[in-house]
Amino acid sequence: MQIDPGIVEQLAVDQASLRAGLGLAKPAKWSGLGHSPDETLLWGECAGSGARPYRVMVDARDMGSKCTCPSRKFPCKHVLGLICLCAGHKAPFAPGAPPEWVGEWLARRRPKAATTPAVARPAGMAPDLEAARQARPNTPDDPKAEARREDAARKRAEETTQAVCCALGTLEQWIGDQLRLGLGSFVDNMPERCRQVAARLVDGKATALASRVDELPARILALPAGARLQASVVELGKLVQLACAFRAAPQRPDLRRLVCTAETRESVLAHPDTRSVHAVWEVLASQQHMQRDRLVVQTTWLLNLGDGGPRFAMLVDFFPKGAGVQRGGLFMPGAYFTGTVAFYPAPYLLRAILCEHAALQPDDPPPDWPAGEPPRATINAALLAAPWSLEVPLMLPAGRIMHDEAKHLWWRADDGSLTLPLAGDVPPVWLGTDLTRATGLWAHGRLTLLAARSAWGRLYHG
Amino acid sequence: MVEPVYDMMAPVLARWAMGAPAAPVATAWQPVLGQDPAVAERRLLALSGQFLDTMVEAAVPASLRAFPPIPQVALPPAPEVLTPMIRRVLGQLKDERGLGLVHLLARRGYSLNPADWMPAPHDDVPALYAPWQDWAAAIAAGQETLRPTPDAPLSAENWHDFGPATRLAAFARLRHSDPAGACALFENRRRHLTADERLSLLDVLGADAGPEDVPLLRDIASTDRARKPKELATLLLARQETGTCDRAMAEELTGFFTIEPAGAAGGQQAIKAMPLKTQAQKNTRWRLLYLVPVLDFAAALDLAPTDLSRLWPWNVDERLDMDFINMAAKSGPDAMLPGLLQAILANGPPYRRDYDALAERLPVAARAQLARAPLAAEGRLAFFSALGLLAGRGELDDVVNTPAFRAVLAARTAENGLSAPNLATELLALGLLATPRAARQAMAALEQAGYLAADSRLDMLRLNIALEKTGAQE
Repeated sequence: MQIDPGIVEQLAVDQASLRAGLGLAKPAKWSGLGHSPDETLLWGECAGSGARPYRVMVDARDMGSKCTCPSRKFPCKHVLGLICLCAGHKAPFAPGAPPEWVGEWLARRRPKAATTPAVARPAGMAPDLEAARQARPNTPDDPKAEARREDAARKRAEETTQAVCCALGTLEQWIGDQLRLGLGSFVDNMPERCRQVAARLVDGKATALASRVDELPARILALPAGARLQASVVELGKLVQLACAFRAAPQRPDLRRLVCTAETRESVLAHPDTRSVHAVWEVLASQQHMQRDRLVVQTTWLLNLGDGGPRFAMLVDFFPKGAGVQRGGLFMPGAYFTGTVAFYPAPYLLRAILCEHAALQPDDPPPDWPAGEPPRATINAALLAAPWSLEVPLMLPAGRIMHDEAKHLWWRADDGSLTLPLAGDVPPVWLGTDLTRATGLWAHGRLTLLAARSAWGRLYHG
Repeated sequence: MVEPVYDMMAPVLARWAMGAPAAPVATAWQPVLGQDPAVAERRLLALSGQFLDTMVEAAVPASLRAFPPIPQVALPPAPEVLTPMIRRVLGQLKDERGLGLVHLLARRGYSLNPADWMPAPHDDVPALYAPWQDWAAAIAAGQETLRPTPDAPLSAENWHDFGPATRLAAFARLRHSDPAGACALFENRRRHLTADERLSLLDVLGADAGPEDVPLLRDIASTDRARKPKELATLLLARQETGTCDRAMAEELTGFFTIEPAGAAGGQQAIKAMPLKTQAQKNTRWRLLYLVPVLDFAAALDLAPTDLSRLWPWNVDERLDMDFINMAAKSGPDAMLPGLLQAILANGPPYRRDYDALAERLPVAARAQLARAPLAAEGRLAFFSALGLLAGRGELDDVVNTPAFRAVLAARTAENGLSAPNLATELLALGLLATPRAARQAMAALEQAGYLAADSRLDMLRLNIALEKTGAQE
C-alpha cells in the first residue's frame, strides 16, 4: 500500500504530535495491522497506557481517521504513527476484510468535503518532518541530579506510605465505630457513612481504597435484605485484613494497587515478578460502571484457552465520563484472539495488561473450554492468597439453571455435587438448556454468570 | 474445629447487629483475639468475614426445579459462518424492525438462534416460532414441563395438547386446509375460551371469511359477552353483508356526495363530493366515513362496491381520499380491494402511514405492489415506509431504479440529503426488503457511488446476499 510519507506533515496539528507519531512508528508497538484489498482503509492496534490497545483506523481516500485514545488532538499521535508505519513500509500490513470496528466507524463518518480547509496553524509553526526525525540530543547523565531525583522519589513514596498508614488508622477506627453503633444501623445508613470515610481516605492518599469503600453500599444493597448484615461483616472484615497486610508490607505492589493507585503499564511490564502468558484468549464479558469520581471503569474478562497460566485475566481501563467509551474500542464477548497477557504481580494473578495480539484465523476453530478446578477449591485458593478479593472468576462444570418456589435462580451441577445461588437474571435461553460449561463471578456467596457453552452454541451475558 | 465456629457465628452476628461487643462470645477464637477490646473486635471481624466468605454456603431449597427445555423449531439455524453478521444486524435493529430479519430468514429457510433472539408470546412472527412462544409463556407461568406439540391437525380432542401459540398456528393451518372444519371447531370450542383466545381465533377466521361464515359471525356479533370479539365479528360481518349499521347513517353519508355524468359524451358516472361550508360538516362527514361500512355506503349510493373506487373523486381532497381508503381497508369486501389498489396506485395520494391498514388486508403480491409506492418519491424514509407496508410478507425486486434509491446514493456526500441516522435506517430497510438480486444490484451501485464494502450500514445487504448463497429457498 502506497502512502506519501510527507502527508503526515500536512496532517499533524503541531510539531509535538508529529514527533510523537514518528516515535510510535515502530512495529513492536503495533498489532493487528491490516489494509483493505482495495487499499482504501488501513488499521492497527497500538499499545497505549491502558490495559487494552487503542484501535486506529485511516481512510486513505481522504485521510480521514479515528483512534479510540482519549486525546483531543486530531489526528492524534497514534494515527500519525500508523500512517508513518505504512508509508515507510516499516511493518507488514496484511490485506483482508476490515474488522467490525472499522466498519462501524465508516458507518458513522461523513466523507470530508472537497473544500475542507487544511489544518490552520500559526505562521511559521508548520510541523517539519525532517526536524521531527532528528533524534533529540542526549543530555549527558548527571549522577548527582539522578541521585537527587531518586532521593526525592523515595521521599515521596515514604510520605505516601505514612499518609496511607494514617488513613488506614482512620478507617480501622471508623470500622470500630460501625461495630459499636451496630451493623443494623450501618446497613440502613451505609451510603452516607461510607462516603464520609471515603473522603478521608482520599485525603490520606488511599485513593483506590476510597473508591472501594465508596462502592461498598452499591455491592451490599444489591443483595437481598436478609443477606446484607452478613455481607457487611464480610466487606468490613476484608478491609481490616487489607489494612493489616498493607501495614505489614507497604511496598507489596498488589497491596499498593488496592490501597493507593495502580502501577503504570511500563512499570508492570518492567517488574521482575510480572508473568506473561501467551495463549488463545476468548472474551467472556465486557462490563462498565462509573465510579463516584466520574471515571468510567471498563472491565474485560478473558478466558485462557491454553494449558498454561491462570485461567482468567481481567483487563481494567478507565475513561473520564463524557470521553465516550465507544463500542468500536471494546472487545466484544465471543471474540477470540491469540496474544500475550502480562499479569500484574500478585499472589493471585488476575488483573492484566494485553500486550501484542492477533486475530485468530477464520479457518481456525477456537479451542474448547478446558475443565477448571472444582469451584469451591478455586474460591478457597483465591481467598487464601488474597482474602480481600471481592470477586473470584470460576469455571463451572456441566450444569443447569434451576428455580425455587420464590422464583430465585440457582445453578446446579449435573452430578448434584454443587448448587450455587445466582446473583441476577440471565437471558431466557440460559434457562431452557443444559450448560455444558459455564463461567461466572463469585461474589458475596452468589454467582453472576458471564458465558456458557450449550446445545444452542456459546452464550454470553454481559 | 469448624462446628464450634458455626455455633459461635449466630451470637456474634446478633451482637454486632445491635452494637454490642462480640469478642466475649467468640470462645473458639479467644486465643488469637488479644486483650485490647478494640483490636479484638477488629480481629474477630476479619476472621468472621473470611469464615463467612469461604465456609458458609446458602441453604439449597429442597424444591429446586429445572425449566422445560427450549423446543426445536421446524427450520435449521442460519449457518454458523453468518452468525457474527446476524448478531451485528440484530444489534442495529432495535425496534420492531428486528422482526423484518426474522421474516427474511424464515423466507430463506432459516431460524434464528434463541441465544440471539427469542419472540415474546404475542409477537407477530412466522408460525415456526410458535413452540418458542409457548415455551416463553410456560417459563413465565412457572410451568415445569412443556408437552410436545401433536403432529395431527387441531381437533376438539387434542385441543389441550397444544400451547396457545402452537394452537393458533395449527388453527390457521386447519383454516387453510379445511375452512368449514375450522369454523366448526371454533364454534365447538368458543364457549370454553377466554376473550383474548376468541379474538385471536376470530382474527384467523376473518383473514378469508366468506358467506359460509356469516351465521357464526352473526352469532358472535350478537351474543358474545366481550366487547372486542363482538366488534371484530361485526366488522367481519360488515365485509359480507349490508345492514350492520344504522341505515339512516348511510343515508346521511350519501348526502355528502352526488353521482354525476362524466366523460365527453356524458355516458359515464363519477362521484362528486359536495362542497362543505363549516367545520361541523367536515367533522360529520369524517365521523360517518369512519362508522359506515363500505357495503352500506355503496348500497345507499346504489352502486356496486367495486365501482366505488373507480368512480371516487381522487385528488380533489387528500384528507377525503385517506378517509375513504381507511373505510375500505376496514370494512371493504375482499373483492373490492384489487380495484381499490389500482385506483390508489394510479390516482391516490402519496404514501402515508394510513396505507399500512390497507396493506394488512392485501395478498403478498398486491402488498408488494403497494410497497413500491413510497419508493417513487424521495421521501425521508421511503425504504423504511415500504418495509412497514410489507411487514415481512414479501420482497421487492428492482429497487435500484427508484428515486428513493437515488436519494440514498446521493446521501453519501450530499450536505442537504438524508441525515446520517435516516441514511442508516434506509440502508437497513433496503437490506431487509430487497430480493437477493435487488440486493446485489444495490450493493454494486452503492460501491460505485463510493460506499465501502466494509461500511457496517451495508451489513444487512451483505447478509441478504449471503443468505441467497446458502439458504434453502422457500
